[in-house]
Amino acid sequence: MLKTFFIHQWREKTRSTFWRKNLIINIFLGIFVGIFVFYFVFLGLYIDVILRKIFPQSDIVQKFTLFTYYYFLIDLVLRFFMQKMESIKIKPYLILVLLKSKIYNFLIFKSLFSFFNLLPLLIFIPFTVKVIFVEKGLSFGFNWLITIILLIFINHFLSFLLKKKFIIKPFLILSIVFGIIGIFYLEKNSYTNFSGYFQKIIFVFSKNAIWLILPILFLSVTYFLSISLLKKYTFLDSFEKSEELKSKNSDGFFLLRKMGIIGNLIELEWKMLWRGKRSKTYFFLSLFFIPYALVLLRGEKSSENEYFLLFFALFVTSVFSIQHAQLFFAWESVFADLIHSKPINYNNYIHSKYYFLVGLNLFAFILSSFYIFWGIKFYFIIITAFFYNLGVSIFIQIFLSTWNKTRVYNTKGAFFNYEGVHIIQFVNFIPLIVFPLLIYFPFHFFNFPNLGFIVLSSIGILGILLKNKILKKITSYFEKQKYDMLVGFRKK
Amino acid sequence: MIEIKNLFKAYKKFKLSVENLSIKEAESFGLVGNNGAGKTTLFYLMLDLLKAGSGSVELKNIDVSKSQDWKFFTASYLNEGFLIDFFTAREFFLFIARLYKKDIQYIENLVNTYKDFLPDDILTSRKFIRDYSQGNSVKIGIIAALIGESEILILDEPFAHLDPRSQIQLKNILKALNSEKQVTLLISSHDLNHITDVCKRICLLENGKIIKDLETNSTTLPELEKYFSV
Repeated sequence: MLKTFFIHQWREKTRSTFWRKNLIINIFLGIFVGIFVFYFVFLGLYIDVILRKIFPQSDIVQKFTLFTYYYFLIDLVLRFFMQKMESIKIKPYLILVLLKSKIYNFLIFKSLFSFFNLLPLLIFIPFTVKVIFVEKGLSFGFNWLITIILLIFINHFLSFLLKKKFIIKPFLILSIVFGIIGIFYLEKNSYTNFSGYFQKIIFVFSKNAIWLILPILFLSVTYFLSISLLKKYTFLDSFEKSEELKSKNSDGFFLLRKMGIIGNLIELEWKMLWRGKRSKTYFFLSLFFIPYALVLLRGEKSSENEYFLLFFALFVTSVFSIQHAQLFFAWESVFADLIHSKPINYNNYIHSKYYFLVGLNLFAFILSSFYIFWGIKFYFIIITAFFYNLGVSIFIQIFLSTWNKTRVYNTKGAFFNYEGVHIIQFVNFIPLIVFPLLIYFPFHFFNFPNLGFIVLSSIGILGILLKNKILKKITSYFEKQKYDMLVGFRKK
Repeated sequence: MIEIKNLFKAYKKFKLSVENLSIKEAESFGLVGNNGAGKTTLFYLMLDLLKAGSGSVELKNIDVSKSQDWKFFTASYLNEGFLIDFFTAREFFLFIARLYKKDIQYIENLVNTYKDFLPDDILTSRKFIRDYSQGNSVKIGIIAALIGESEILILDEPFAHLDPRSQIQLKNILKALNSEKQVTLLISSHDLNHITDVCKRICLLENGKIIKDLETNSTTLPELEKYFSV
């Protein structure tokens, strides 16, 4: 029975249009996975060397076990956000003469093969073999490894149970992030010593296998709770708790109504972003990137490299629009036929996209104005980047998105969702980030950095002045692409 | 009103070719045919949602692929791709209305006219369109197509998914539009009773070709039934 399920799953994967059409993206993803595997194995084999360097006097098995505490903490958070219970399209199976428990067990069994479970083994197993067996003996090593594997699985099921309990909302995300920072802060300053207790308990388990009964019991509890949850929610498509649908039934924003048809279209785009699961997640993810430049700005003020400053300024000010515009037009794929059969002037349509991205850029710009406290220089560069985005980057983003030809369901989640992802999304940083850096390069080289920033802003302002002409060109290109887009969008 | 000349569209295993089809103003035109005969493809071509291989479609002497102006007097509802499912019905109607420079007052009047056909409390309900049943969302789509008083109305299988009562109501709505407001109707359907009731002219499509072009009279229904019963 399990075999049949697996065969069906395999066919679903290999026969999906995504797999067949996007060979290049699959190769890309394959390479990413390969790199990850390599890093993890490498880490597993050499982490003892690193640890010995940092803690020359200590018992490194003990130190390593201390670190696993943080690992499991972060693992649980990441799983909570990213891991999903793959409900195979379960409906067709439910009506068949099948033991339901078999379906549940298959779902659980299959979910175990996630990289959250497999990748850490690439670290823990080499470490056990190379270090623990040698230093603590075989039985200790085996028990230690079994404990760790049990904990991985406990995290696995725990994340499902938590997922069912909580809705992912901005407030929750913030409290989790601050909670984690708090835990780390308290541990680091020795107000609490949870990692120490954690390490001692693991050592107790490792010394005497009898105690392993405890994690096994705990695992069984989480397992049975997951199964019973699955039973409850079998008839729903999604295992995750979803937000209750509430809408404001708004007649629109006053300002947008003043803008006529363009305003009407901007309102559509905004509601689509805000009510779609995937686009909304992108929006919140972008929020996390706004303080990203702080990574760099911490250092001494004098040594800050202008290239990096420009890079971060470009990135921070355009992160919202890059995230959203990468699937422009494709977001509307589900109702594209409506858009194209209603009296919407294409020039207005493209203008509405432009103004929408201007809005997102403006939002990012306002959010990033707190950087003024880190020096006027970086703020000046942010203003440069803002103008450059409005006058150049946005046009490029709209133009590139006319190549989107895949149907995208915005109701699906954002993580591990490659629907509509195109090779362009991997290389769009070249025109958006690398080009302006290249323009800036000669000025920096001949030691006129400020002139370089002025030139970049001027190019941006020129682009803003030529907006109508550029958008007209994009519109006529869009009209040529439209048939291919529509055919692609209709393919389910 | 509608002129189709040498329209041709080829797929791998399917060809649609309509040599000459002209539909007069205020005509009610029905399209019947088996699954895969090309009804929806023909509608897509008429709405410029597909690129024609060759030939042309002219609506009021405007070539649909050359100008956008025909969109002001042509309305359509083909399938759920003509609905914005994350809108409430009110927001959806208002969105469409604003494209025709109409306001909420206009929508209230329109909904009031068709209040028996539409689900209750359609303008105050906070339900998203995706949460309506299929039948009710079809109704929303059809009424949305009436916004802007278009002269041409194209509907693809409008009777499917509707309950018997709504089907009869829809027939009356369509007949009234046709006779009172001179709307040119283009309707496809698998329900031969309904389509012969609503349409005065019926074309039969088979493998992408129009093989019968009939004025509706008492013999039309038996003739169509005979074709489909083989």
